[in-house]
Amino acid sequence: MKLVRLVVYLVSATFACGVDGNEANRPFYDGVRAEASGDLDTAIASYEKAVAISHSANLHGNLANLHYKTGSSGKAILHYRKALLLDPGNPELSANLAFARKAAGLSPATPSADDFHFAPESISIWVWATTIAFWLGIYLGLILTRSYISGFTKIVGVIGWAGIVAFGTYAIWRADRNIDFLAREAVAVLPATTNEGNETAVIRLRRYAGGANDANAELKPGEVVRIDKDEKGQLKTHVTKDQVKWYLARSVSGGKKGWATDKELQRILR
Amino acid sequence: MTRIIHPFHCLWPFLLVGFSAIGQQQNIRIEANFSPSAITLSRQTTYKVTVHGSQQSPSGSLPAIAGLGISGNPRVFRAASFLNGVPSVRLELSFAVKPERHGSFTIPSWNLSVQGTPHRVPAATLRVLPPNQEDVLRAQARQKQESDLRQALFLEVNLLRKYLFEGETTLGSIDLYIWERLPITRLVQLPQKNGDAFSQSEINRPIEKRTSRNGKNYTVYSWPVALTAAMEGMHELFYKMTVRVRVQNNRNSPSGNPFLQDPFFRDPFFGFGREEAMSVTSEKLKLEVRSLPMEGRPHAFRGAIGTISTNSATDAERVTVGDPVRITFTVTGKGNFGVMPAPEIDSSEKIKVGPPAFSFEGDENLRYEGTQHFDYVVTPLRPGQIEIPAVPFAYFDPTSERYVDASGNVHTLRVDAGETWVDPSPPQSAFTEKQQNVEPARNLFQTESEPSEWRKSLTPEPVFRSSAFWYAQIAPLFCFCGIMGWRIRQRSSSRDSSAKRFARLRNEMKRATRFNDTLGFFRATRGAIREKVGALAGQEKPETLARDEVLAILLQRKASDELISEINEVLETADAHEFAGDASASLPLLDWQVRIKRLLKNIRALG
Repeated sequence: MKLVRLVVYLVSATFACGVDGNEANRPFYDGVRAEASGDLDTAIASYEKAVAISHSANLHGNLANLHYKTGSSGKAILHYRKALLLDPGNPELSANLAFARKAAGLSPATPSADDFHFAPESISIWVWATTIAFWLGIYLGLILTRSYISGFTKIVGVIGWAGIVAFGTYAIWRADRNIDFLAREAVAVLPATTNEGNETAVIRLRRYAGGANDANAELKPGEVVRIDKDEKGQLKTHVTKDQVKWYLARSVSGGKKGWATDKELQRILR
Repeated sequence: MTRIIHPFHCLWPFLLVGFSAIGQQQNIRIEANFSPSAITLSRQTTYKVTVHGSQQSPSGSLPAIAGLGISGNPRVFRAASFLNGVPSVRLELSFAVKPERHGSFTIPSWNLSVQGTPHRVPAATLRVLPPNQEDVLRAQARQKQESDLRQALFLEVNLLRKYLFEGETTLGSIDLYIWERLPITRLVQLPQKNGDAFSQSEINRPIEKRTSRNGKNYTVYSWPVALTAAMEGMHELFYKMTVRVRVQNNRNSPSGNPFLQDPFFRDPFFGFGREEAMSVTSEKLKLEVRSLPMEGRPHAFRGAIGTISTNSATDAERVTVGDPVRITFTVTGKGNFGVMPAPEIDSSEKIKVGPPAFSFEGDENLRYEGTQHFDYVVTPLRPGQIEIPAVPFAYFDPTSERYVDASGNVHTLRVDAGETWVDPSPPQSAFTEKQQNVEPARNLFQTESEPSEWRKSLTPEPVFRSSAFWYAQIAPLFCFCGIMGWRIRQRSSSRDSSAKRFARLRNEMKRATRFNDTLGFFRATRGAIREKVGALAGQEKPETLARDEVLAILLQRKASDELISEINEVLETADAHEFAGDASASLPLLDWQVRIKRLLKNIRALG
């Protein structure tokens, strides 16, 4: 019964994905046409419509290109990040992101193992590899207990197997932690009311959640921060009387901390 | 005799309890007659049954009379009165009767059940006379009235063409004419098409105008409609709609003249009568739908029919590789724009063509006359001089009844290779350096004209958070448990069989001792030692162990030298008896048995 339920779930999930994609095709092509005719604002609006329905690497890539061309470097970096989440191996997107970061005056990103080996999107690979190693070891053990190989060899084999499984478990934990980080990551974006083409424009991290107070620190457009968690494990937010949502965020290095609105800090996974 | 059942008890819902009680105390008497009892053929009369002494609903079946049309739904009338201080009640049932021929008709006596008791209804006779002069005049007046009514409210369908080709769209109008004196209150229903061989555009708000015809002033509501022929052959087409008019008298009055109820003959203006729905139907049009000729049909023809012209244009003549170019193919004129399929441009190695976008300039509902744009996004894939093929398009002109090839122009596009971009950021680590080495040089900010794979969410979902993953683990887990269970069972059964074999050998030793059978004793002893030692080493077939192997196992198990030498001695003795023919030698088997028992106990202690 469970197997039937599983099959139904998978089929319906596949179908649902297909439906979403088809619906998003039209605004995507509208965007391409508008961009081809030079109407960048209409193109951005069309792509944003498609983003509201579904996601694709090329969609976010095109949107990022347009934001860069219209001077919104923060949004460009945000959408390059989104595009790379969907197509991590795309060198063109990586190159564009690096270029946009440099143009925004940000220091080049230093890739670490968390960006590649333990990247969020690698978690499924780690889970399956560890699972396969675990069961393979178990079954090999069953077979080899009756074999005539020496006890030393058996012990070495068990230690090796345990080491592989332990490393796989560690990799899963680390990738899962990076997913948590990613869920809290946001890109600093200049709100639409400000002049985004102004190179000196910055996003202020305030001492308190509210517009009129001193800034703890300032962020350049495109800079990545992580939103703090509250005691319940949720994102630490505050909604003011004028219904503005504020996030308590800190830079990845931890050097900057303060409150900014959800218009100024746009989360990557939204 | 054909009989019609009339369930009278269903016809009057209220019971006058007081008069019913009175009625129950009176004698019941029934009368029946026609009122009037003599009529001409064109008139109607009433067959009246009166039940005196009861107001309760009777039940019975009225006989059917050939040549008389008797309504199945009688009017019921109840009356109560006091005559000289005596209460009197009665119930009247009135049936409308319409004769079908002249002559004398008698409804014979029939049974009617009142208060559960059957009573006889007396016979009644009707005389129907031939039509007189008055009837003839009345019939003439009726025909005139019907003709006038048709002139007061009618529906007309006007089409531009007398015949159509299959798939052709033509413009037409549906006109509702309302005589100015006819008190129409509202149009209940828009014109409904009857004719499956045609599809039509949506019918929206009508255009109102005033016109005069045959000396009468009319208000005309006109709905423009685009009709598309779907099936070849001769087909009928008509429209039907409903309007509400104000009438004055009661429609269901059996005594009223039905023709006087027609709104045309009522006072149209100042009455406060009720509203009544009235259905209007247009005349049936017989339209021929011809099939399109096969002769001279171009390859590019995909169903466009009309009188049209085409044009194609690009928005750029020089681009870089990957930059999309828009080609607009325009079709202008009159035709079946609502069903016109988009022409297709095939992709090639040099260009990639996206699906076209549609836009129509003109009446979006009718889609008969205007301009249809098909916008294609063409992405050049290679640098150089590229020719974008002409948009293939052909249409059928129904006026000249021939096909016309109206494909677009071939557009030449100069495609530049574009600037090559080199990552300006310095290498940060060995990893990025490696990445840069393998990364091909590409154009920066190139727009992709195709969406890649769509994903519902950006969030990477760990597979172990899905129940499917854990369900997938059930299979290897069950398999593992099964193997383990099988092994435990096998081991247990092996142990059981070892114990059985040992018990059998011990019994053989005892029996050999009792019969002084030295050969049998040592054979059983050797087997018992092998069994015990084999069990120590987990041997599945201990009877195959050689003496050296037995001793090696004991040595491995760190048995004492004394035990090993004693076992060796016993096994040598057993071999001597078995293979050296020393069977005749008589040994004290009872002592040997005690000794062997001790040795076996020591072996078991090693485990």
